[in-house]
Order: sequence, then structure tokens, then C-alpha cells
Amino acid sequence: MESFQPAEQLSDIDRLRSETVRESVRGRPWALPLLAVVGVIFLSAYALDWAWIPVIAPLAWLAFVVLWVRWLRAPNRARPGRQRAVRDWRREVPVWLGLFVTANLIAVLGATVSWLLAGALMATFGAVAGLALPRLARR
Amino acid sequence: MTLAGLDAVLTAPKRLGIMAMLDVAKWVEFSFLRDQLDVSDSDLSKQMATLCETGYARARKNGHGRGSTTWFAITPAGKRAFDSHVEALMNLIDEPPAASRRGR
Repeated sequence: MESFQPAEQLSDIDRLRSETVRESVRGRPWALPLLAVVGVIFLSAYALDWAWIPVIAPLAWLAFVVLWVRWLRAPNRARPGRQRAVRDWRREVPVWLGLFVTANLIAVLGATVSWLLAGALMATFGAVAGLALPRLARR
Repeated sequence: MTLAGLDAVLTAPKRLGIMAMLDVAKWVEFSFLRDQLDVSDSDLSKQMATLCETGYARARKNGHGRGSTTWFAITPAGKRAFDSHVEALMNLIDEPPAASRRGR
């Protein structure tokens, strides 16, 4: 941005604003495959005949989710400018409830039928939800 | 042509570009500003120092040493100055050139 011409300056302003907004909402291309792989590992771990799995697996999953979310947010070199309003949170409540119920149903299915199947279902569910949620957040 | 509304600090194209980016984000990292404006570290530091001294931007440093990052945000005063500067630029474009006005 070097020009002193008003028209060129305004055009540069538009370009820089677009680039900044794009950077602030940019996602990680490997985020969903990573979530899917770790989800399968997490649920498959329950198939192991080891007494400590029910203790260690949830803690490991929690640690992974915290790191994963930090990784999703941290590398963006611009943070979104729009403040979240109460209505944004309210709009997301049914979505989070739906995610919670579906994830627990899959876990129940895993406990009764097959943990491997539950892992595959959870990975698919994570991928679909992961694709849908950012679109919902941008609306 | 009128210069009313133009801000002396923002007449520098680089500073105007910085403010344009800060205006749409909550915080923007130093390296992003540098890459987008294609300027050197020292040049950007100088421009940011001017904007911070004027009260148009504020800085926040995360971490220490080599891994540290510096983030910048626009202040309310900076937002007002930027908005009125952009409006003045738009008015300059809307106004007919002085030569054509004389010819009427």
C-alpha cells in the first residue's frame, strides 16, 4: 500500500480488510482428519483389556480436545473482530445439546455392540459436525 | 478538493493500511501486518510506534524471547479517526475535479 490516490487507497483498504477477515476465520485443513483418527483411537482403546482405560482414556481425550482447540485458534494471526452476542450463544444451545446427545448415543452403542463401530461413527459424526459448525458460526 | 476530515497521521498509506486491518479484527499479529503490507520489521515497528503514541492503536505482547508475539488492536479514538478519514477519502472521489468545476 504505497499510493496516495484516494481511489487506490480505498481499494487497498478493501483488500486488506478482506485478507484480515479471511485470516481471522481460517481453519486448519488437518484438524478434522486428526479429530477423526484420535476419536477412533480413543474409542478403540476401550476394547483393550486394561483396568485403567476408563480413567486414562477420558483424561487423554479431554487433554487432546483442549490442545486441539488451542491449535485451531492459536495459529491465526488475526482474531475475529465481531463480538459474540447473547443471541449467538442462544442459537447454538440446541446444536450443542444435539451434539451431546448424539455423542452419548454413539458411546452407548459402543458399550453394547462394538467399540470399533462406535469409533467409526464418532469419527464420521465429528467430521460432519466439524464441517457444519464453522458454517453455522459464520452465519 | 477539500481536505476536511483527513487525518494527518493516516495520510501515510502504510499507517492507513494498518488501521484498515485493525478495524476488522479484535487483535492482529505483527507478522501478519508485515506480510500484508510487504514492509520490513523495523519499518512496521516505526509505524506502529506512531499509531500507539497517537492513541490510535494499542499493543500486547505474548510470551518471552524468540517465541514471543506482538498483537495490536484499534482503540476507540483510532476507530473514529479511521472512519472519518475513509469518509473524507470517499468524498474526495465523489467531488468533481477542480478543472471541470472551473469549466462550468
